[in-house]
Amino acid sequence: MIGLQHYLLVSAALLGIGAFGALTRRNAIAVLMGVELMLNAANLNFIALWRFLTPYSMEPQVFVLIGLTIAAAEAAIGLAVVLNIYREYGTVNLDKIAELKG
Amino acid sequence: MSVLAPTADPVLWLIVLVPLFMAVVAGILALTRRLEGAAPYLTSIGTGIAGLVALTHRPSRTHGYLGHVDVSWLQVWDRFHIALSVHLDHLAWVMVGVVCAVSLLVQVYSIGYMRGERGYARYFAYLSLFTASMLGLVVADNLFQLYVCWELVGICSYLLIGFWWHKPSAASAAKKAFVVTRFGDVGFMLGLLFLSVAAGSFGFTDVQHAFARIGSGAQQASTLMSNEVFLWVVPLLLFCGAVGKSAQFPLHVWLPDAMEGPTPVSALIHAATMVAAGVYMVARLIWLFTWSSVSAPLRGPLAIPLDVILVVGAVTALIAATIALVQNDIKKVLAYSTISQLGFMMMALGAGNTAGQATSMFHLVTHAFFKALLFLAAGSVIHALHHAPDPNDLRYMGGLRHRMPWTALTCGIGVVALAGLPPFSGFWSKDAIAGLLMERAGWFGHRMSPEGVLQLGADPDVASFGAVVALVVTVLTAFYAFRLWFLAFAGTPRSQAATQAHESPAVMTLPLVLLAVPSVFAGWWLHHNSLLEAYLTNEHGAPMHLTVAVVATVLALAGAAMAVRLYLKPSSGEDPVCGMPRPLYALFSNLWYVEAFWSAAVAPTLLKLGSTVAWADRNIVDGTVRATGRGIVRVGYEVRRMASGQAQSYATVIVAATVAVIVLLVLYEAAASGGMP
Repeated sequence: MIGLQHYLLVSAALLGIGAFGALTRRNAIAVLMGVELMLNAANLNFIALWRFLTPYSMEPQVFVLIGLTIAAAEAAIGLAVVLNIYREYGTVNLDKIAELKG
Repeated sequence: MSVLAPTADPVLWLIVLVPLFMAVVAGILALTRRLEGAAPYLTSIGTGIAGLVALTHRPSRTHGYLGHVDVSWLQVWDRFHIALSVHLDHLAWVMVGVVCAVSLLVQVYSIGYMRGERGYARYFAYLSLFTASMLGLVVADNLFQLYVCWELVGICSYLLIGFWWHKPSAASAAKKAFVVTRFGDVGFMLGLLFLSVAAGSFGFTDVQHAFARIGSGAQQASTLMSNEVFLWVVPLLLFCGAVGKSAQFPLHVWLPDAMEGPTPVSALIHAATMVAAGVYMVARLIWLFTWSSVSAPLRGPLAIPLDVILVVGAVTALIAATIALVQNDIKKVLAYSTISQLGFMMMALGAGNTAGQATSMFHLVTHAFFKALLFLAAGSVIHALHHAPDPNDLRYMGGLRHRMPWTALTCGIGVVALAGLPPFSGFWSKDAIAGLLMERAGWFGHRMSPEGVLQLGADPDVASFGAVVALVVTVLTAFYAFRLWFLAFAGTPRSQAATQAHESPAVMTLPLVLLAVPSVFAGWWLHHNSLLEAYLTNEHGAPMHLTVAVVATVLALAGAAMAVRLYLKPSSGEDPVCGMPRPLYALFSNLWYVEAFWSAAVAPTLLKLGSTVAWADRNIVDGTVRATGRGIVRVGYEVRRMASGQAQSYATVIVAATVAVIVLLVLYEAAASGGMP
């Protein structure tokens, strides 16, 4: 029987993988992908908790839909930013982009 | 103290405001350099109006009239309030009369004396400002206004001493006057703040009532007021202010230097009015000095304010009179004479109580007239001798009685009044002081019982000392007064300038004549039926003791005769006064080494203290501020290195911190619920 804990474990794993990717990858595209994974972990949490704790309430589903929308928007903006960074610097290697170094 | 219902008369405001307004107008004329010639007329009219208002609002014993107007200036919640007021009681009225009369005559005289000077209108603006401040001081009904005006007259004195600021000696004399009086003013300010805090009010009557309630046991004394030390420290602190302002020993050193100012200024500020402010202040608060002196538990050796006042006055009178003997500068002689006479007034105040107040004010009034007269006469001489190498020096004068008859005559009247020969005004007031002191000393048969002494104030032995000094100073005063006149007006001219001198214009001799009248008659008139004493204290003073009058007259005649004998025949050699014993002459001509003490002992110490404080300010105070700034810059420099500019390193910190917070929360929950879940 697959219970709430399993969903939560998968979700935590997704969050960890996403965070690891976002923090360690040099490539900006890969960082964006890590962020997407973290957003999906949150969405999965929402759905799992809704299903097992408050199945008769519709609000969590609304939140998840909003979360998906934001993830899509974020991907679009993020890609646009990465595209511009590439045009400006000729690279998407985040180690090379340190204009704000103190 | 009779209770009079004060009458609110708004017209009383004019006493202060008209001279103030005229000062502003004259100041505008001075700044715009237009119509400068009109300034003296405006300021004289202003002073005249103030005098007329005071004259028509005489507070009277019989009609029960007492003028009083005030307006609240500062109200600090319900804690205290500070009023601006014109309180015209008997004491103030006498003083307002003196100030207005002398100020008006000095301004008229200055029209002639200052003619053609640069800064003509500025001079009269200062004079009028001084008159307004002095009147404000006199009509104050609270300590705060008194103090503000006290400092205002000090500023006017500074401005007028330094009127010829381009002369280095005048500029430094002005600074000296300001700084030396500040020594006393610090004590004065502390004293009046303590007094006001203890009594909960600045008003004279409020403070007096607070003390009276405690004296009668109707009210529990506040902790401050029941403190015995407080009760004689506060009067002594207040007296410090009088010592500075009224040029008492050891702060008298500024007054002789103040003679650098124009002579009419010396007559008005440094002889008749401002220097009397200290005497007036002590007279105004005489109940406090008497009260704190006669409170039995406080009587100890010299811990008594009245005794201190009496001794300081006596020492001042004696020292200044001896110095005046050997001065060759006509204004310096008069300056030391002023210091000596102020010492006389202080001695009278030291006798305590209303009798001391009335006697002191009596001498203040007569002295204001004859000393202003003497200074204006000296100014007339200086004006005539402006071609001499040093127009102030008596050694370049001589024989002026033929060239300047009016000046010689009026100056002679002033000299006789100063010497205290009957029936001139100085005789009556000086003998009143000597008589009062002898009475306190118990020289008239009965020595007072200890209870009687307690009620009256001054200690009999201290009063004896004062009486002896008064008699000695009478001889000295007569001698130097006559010496001055004979050196200036008798004999033959001793310089080219003296032979060519001519009488001053009528605008200058008229004030001399007008001042000569009260110098002759004021003493007799005020003494007659003890007019002033009855007016001020509502009680008749003791009649003059014939013995005192005879003894004092004989002593004054002896001093005068000595001067006449030495100076009547013109001597070609050195001044006969140099014939006195060498050590004495050295002592007197070196000013009793008081100046030397100040400049050798006190001034270097103060300078060292000042430079230490300046060092501490530069290095400790400023250093702290600079170190703080520099430290923050350094911290910022170190912190800057944490900013790598790489978004991922920031994000790592955020994630690590979040994880750490979560772990801590979980651990905390676990600990709170007892054991891991």
